[in-house]
Amino acid sequence: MSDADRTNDEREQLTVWVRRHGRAVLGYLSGIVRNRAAAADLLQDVFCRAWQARDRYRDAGCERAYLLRIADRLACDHARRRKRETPLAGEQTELAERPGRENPPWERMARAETRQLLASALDALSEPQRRTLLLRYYGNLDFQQIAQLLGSPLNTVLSHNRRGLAALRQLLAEKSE
Amino acid sequence: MTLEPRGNRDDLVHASAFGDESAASDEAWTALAQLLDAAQPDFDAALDDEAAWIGGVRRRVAQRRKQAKRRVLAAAAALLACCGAGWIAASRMPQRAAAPEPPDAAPAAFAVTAAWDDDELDLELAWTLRHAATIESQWRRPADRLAFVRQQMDELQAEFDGDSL
Repeated sequence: MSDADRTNDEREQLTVWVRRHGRAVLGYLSGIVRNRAAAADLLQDVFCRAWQARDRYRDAGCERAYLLRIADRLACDHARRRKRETPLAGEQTELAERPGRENPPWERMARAETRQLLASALDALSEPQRRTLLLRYYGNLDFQQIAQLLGSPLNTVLSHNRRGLAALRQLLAEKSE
Repeated sequence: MTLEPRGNRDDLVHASAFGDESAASDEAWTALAQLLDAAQPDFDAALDDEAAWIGGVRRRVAQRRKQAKRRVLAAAAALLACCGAGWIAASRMPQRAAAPEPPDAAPAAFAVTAAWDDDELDLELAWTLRHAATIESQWRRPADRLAFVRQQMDELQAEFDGDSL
């Protein structure tokens, strides 16, 4: 196989990864870092690192878990850095709508409401609970896999899941009143 | 009327509470999943221009490679500089160790005073120089030392007598 063929194959593989898992990984990152620009930047970093380490990655059919593991590490590093930094006044930290997209007003309102509700739901969770629930949703992973990915015991992950859902339940009850 | 055993009743209460909690958890999970589903179009929009986005990743990969190469080169240069400095230091050390010591002042003084005009001393010195090796070798054997000295003295006496005649 020539170098050009190999390059094309690699490019194709990267495209497949992005197409299959890009949105899920971006969703996970957005849920953790709560900043669209930072999430988009981290997403490139995730694929960049995954791509560089692709030789070490054993193709066991868990591409998404592999990418989410990298995303989780990078998001944790980012959160740690953010703790040390002082946010500028008025800095956008919420999941806001991308500028420049023209939607009908009612749709924008509905989206804004959904985003608001999602933001408050994520605020109601602690960081481990958020990670557990988002990994479950975006990675479609079982608790054993989530425990492996987070490096936590299974019971701890189950506890985070249960408590996180309890917090959400409480929030939903408050909203419905 | 029949009473259920206490253990069974507790189990039923627990199962019922667990079932309620489980149902509520399912409800909360469904609500969260719906919210995340609703937010999905935003993420789709972020990856609209797939080709440009992948191009960005590839540029970043290339940039990282360059940085890694630069780091390796810098480390190699530092290593080379350290090795060079070590080699220079090592090459200077033996020179210092083998450097000749300043000449002793005694031979020079001897050379100056060697130009004397004493015939007797001249003779003795000439004899000593001629027999230096023999004297030294004989002197190392204590048993022959006395005989040797005697013999040498006799020879010297005979030579002296011959000269005086």
